[in-house]
Amino acid sequence: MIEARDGRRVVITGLGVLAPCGSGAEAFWAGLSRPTEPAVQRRIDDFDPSEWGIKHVEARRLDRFAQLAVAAATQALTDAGMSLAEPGYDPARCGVVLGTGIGGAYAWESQTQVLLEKGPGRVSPLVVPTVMPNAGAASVSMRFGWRGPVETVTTACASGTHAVANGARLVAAGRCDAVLVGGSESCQTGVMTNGFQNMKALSTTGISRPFDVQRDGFCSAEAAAVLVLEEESAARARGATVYAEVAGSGSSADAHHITAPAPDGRGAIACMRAALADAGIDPAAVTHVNAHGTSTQLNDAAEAFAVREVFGSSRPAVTSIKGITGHALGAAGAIEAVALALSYHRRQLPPTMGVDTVDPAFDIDLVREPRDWVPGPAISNSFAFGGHNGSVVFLPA
Amino acid sequence: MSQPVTADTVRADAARHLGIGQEQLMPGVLLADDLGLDSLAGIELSMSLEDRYGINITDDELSEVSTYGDLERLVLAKTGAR
Repeated sequence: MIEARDGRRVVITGLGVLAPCGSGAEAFWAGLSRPTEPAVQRRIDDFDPSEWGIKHVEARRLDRFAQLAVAAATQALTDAGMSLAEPGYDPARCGVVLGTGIGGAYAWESQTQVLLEKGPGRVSPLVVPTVMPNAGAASVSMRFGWRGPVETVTTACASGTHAVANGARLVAAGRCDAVLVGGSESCQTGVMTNGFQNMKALSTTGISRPFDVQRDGFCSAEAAAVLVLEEESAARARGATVYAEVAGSGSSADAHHITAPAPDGRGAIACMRAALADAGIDPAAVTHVNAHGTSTQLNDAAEAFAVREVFGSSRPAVTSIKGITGHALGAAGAIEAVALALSYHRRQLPPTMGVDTVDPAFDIDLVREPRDWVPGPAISNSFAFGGHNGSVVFLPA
Repeated sequence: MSQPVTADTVRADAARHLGIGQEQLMPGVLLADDLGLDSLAGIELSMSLEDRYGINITDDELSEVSTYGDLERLVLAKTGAR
C-alpha cells in the first residue's frame, strides 16, 4: 500500500455482519449458499436493537441504519476479542470509517409526515442527528470510546468498499493502531423504494441472478458489516485471529453518467488496475474476484467486460454474493469484505446463487457451487451511482 | 379528550415514552441527573406530552423544569386538571 510506513501491514482481525440471509459470521456464511425465496426487498426480520444494548430512548435517536452499525460493530469487537468498554490501544489512535449510501431515511420520511400533518412545532428536535449519514460512525465511536478519526464515506453503492480502503490507509500510514471499517444501509421506505422502482433499477421477478442472461435488476436489501483492522505485528502480539490482509485499494470515477456505468467498463478497469498496483500484485496472480454483480443489465455487462480486460486469460473465479444477499447499497462492499475474509478462513468460495444460465456474452469463470479454494490474492469490487468505483485487494495472512 | 387527565395518566404516558417503569417517575426524580435525559431528550418528552394532550409548553416553561414532578404539574396545569 502506497501509504504503508515502516513496512506496516494491515490485517482483518474481527468480523461483524447482519444481513437478510443471516446475522453473525457463522449464520451469514451458511446463508450464502442456501437457496432463498424470490424477494425484491430483503430485510433482516429478526433484528431487535435491545439485544445489542440499544435502549428505548437511544433507539429513537438512531435510525435503523445506525442501529445496525452499532450491532455489527459490537459483533466485530467481540469476534476480535477486544473489549467493548475501551479500545485495547490509545483511544486517540482508534478510528471508525463507515459507509452508507443514504443515511436515516426512515426518520426523514416520518418527520416529513409529521410536518405536513401536525405542523412545524411537532417536528422532532432529534431529526437532524438521526437523519445525518454520519450517525452510524458517530454512534459506534461514542458507544465504544474510539476517539481517533471517525468519518463517513458516502459514495452510494461503493461506500462500504471505500470505507474499508480508507480505514486500511489510516492503519498503514501509522495514523491509527486499529480502525473499525464497514458500512450499513437500511432505507426501504416508500419514497426510496418507489424511486428505485420507477427508475427501473429493481428486479420485477424478485430473483437476484448476477451475470445471468435473464437478469432483470437488483433486489434491494438492508445490511450492515464491520471489520476490525489492525497493524499486523500488534495484532499477532496480542494473539488475534488474522483472517486476511488488506493489501491495497483503488478508487476511480467513470465521469460518464449519474446512474449508468460507462459501457466500456473504463472506470472499473482503471479501478482494479490501481488496486492491484497499490498492492504490488500481478493481475495473473489473482485467483478470485468478489464481484459487484448486482444483477442489472448494465452493471454486470460492464463488470464482466472489465474483469476479462484486466485479468485476461487467467480467468479468476468470480462470485457475486448478491444472488443471496440482494444489493445492500452502501453496506454491500462491507458485507462482501466479510464474505471474502470468511473465504480465506474457510478456504472456500461462496457461490453465485440465483443463476440459471450465465450470459453467453461473458467470458468469466462464475462460481456456481461452493468451491474449495487455495487462498491467494483476491479483489473485491463496488461500482456506484455517481460513477464511483472502488476495489480492494486482499491477501492470505 | 375522552379520558380525564390525571397525574396517573401523565405518569403512564411519560413512562411509556421513556420506556421505563412508572415507579421510576417519582415527583422528586431529577430528569437529567437521575434519569440521564439530556436536553434533547427533555424536549422530546415534553413534545410527546404536548402532542398527547393537545397543549403547548414554551421553551421558558421547559427551562424551569428539573424534576419529573415539575413536568407533571406543568402538564396538569395546562390541561386544566386538578
